[in-house]
Amino acid sequence: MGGMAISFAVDLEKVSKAANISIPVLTAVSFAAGHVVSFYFHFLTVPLLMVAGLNVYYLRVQKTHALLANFGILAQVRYMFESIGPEFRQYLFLSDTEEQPFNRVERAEVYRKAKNIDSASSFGSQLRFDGSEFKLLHSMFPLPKDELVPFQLTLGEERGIDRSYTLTNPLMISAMSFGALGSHAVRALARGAKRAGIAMNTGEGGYPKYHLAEGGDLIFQMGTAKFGVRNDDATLNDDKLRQLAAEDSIKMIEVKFSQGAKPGKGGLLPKEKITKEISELRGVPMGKDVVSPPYHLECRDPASTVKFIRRVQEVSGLPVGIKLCLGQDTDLVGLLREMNKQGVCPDYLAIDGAEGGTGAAPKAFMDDFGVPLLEALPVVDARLREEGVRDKLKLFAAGKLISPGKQLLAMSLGADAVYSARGFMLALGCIQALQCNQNTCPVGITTHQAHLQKGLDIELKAERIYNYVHHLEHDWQEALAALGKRSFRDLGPSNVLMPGRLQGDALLHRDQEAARLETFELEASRRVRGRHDGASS
Amino acid sequence: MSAERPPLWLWVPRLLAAAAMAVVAYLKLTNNPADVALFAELGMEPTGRLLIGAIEGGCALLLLSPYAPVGGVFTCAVMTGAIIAHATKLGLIVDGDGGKHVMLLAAVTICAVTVAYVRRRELPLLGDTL
Repeated sequence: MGGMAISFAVDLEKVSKAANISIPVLTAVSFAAGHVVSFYFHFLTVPLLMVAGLNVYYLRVQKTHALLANFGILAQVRYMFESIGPEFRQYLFLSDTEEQPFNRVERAEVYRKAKNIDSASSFGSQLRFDGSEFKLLHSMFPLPKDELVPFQLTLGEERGIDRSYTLTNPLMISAMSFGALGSHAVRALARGAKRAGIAMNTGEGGYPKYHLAEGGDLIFQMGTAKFGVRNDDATLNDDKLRQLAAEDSIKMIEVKFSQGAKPGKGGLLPKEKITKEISELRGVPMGKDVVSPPYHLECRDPASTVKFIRRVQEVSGLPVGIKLCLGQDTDLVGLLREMNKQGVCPDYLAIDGAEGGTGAAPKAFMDDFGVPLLEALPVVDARLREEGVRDKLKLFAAGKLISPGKQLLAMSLGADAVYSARGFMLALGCIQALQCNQNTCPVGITTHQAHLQKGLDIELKAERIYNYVHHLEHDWQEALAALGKRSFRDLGPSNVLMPGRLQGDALLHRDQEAARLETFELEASRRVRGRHDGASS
Repeated sequence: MSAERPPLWLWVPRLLAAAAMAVVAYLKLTNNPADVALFAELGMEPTGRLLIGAIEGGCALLLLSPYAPVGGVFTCAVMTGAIIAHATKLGLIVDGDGGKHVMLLAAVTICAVTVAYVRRRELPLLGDTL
């Protein structure tokens, strides 16, 4: 308040003092007028009396808000303005490229695609080109579009399993559980995914009742709490997994080790969002936050982890992937070596970038943990090649991949297919109100309140999901032709401009990177060996 | 949206206050002779009586709605006005009732304060500071 007093030449301290004196005086005057002139004055006396009482509470009783204790009820104005600040900033004051995690330009592109509106823009890009961005490098000789090869990626065929699964679209809906999302949103996504011919991840929300209801292809995610396939102590129940995997719609199983938004921490479902139905589907009590353990109880080192992956593969009979956010990559190297040692390999590895989304996570984890996606992918791709498992292990990528350009960048840097969650939420009508953990989502996506879900029409939004995928496919084809590549498989780091470097420098940079990786690799193997030696002694 | 579910016992004062407000609103709006006499004494007949009757009806509805704490605050306001009336103009004993009318006022006020206080965090604008 003092700073404002100087800049506006109004002494707000004096103003608040005057207000604090005026309120009881006015109350007394109004009371007298009500007594002497007309009883109608008490329509003013009563509110003034209540305001006076509140002011005494602020000034003399409460201790939690220093501003209110020092200045009284006028300081409340600050809190009121602050409370409407996010909306004002989003509606009026932030520029089109300022907001996070997705700015207005990025969101608008998804909205246009979902609503089937031409996304051509004019005059020039609104982005600032300052040499800090990844860019796709086009070819001087674009291909005719009829030379493009359709996308196809089969998982599980190397193991010769009966129920191998073939993706025919490189985009999948990333893990969002019923719980994180309301039933309308899940059904709209599932229906849209089926219509668009893409696979959808169920998230770690237990038995995927609403995902299954639409009959599309599903990837069942098993989180560390193993909702839906767990024993009471959060260990895997083989019978439940076998039963679930027998469902026609379940095409793959994904064991989640960590998530980009909160790597090293278990999932979190706030108690506000635990309805009776969710508590039944997950097997957890109501009225308490559900915090999943930070690790699978079966997995305490590379050996037990690989053993667990084999168990899930054998029990389910399906392709099995693992999902993680890259942290210390010595751990990844250790795991890959253990896979080679045991002759067991998951069918895919999904890398979630640190910028990945979440329904709820501690802020420190969201902001300061894990490797961002475009930096993680080349490292992981290199590790897989070095350990000789790249052919067996397909690579998926996730983390803010909502636009065709970003998706192609991820696929150029090593990904075989990509996940997006928030892209599809935006297509459903998400306005980035940032209330996903409060059960108050104003557009009915991350809420279970019936009156808020009412506005989310399942059929209409399913169509928007289809439109979004359809327009992305169109853009990918245009882009592949411009890049001079026949298929997604032909994409590689050579068609990517690394930040701040021209292509020639980028090649040099890659040589340096290779040298760095070699040093790192030696160090990693020393550390892993040390750990094993330590364990055996 | 409240993070905590309000305790079940809160339905008791909530329903009592809502029922009392509904009854007094009905009596005022249907020209109950006792109310007409009281408001004539206050010099507010009939406008004041009908206005306050309508506000009391609104309070009853608010108390039964998800905005019960707001209803509690408004009920307190109406009751404060009534207490001022009895303290300054009407006297504590009305028609030789031995103060029953005023005791009823006090009971409804306590119920309304209880609802508003227990769920004070849900009050718009002010909730976070209470």
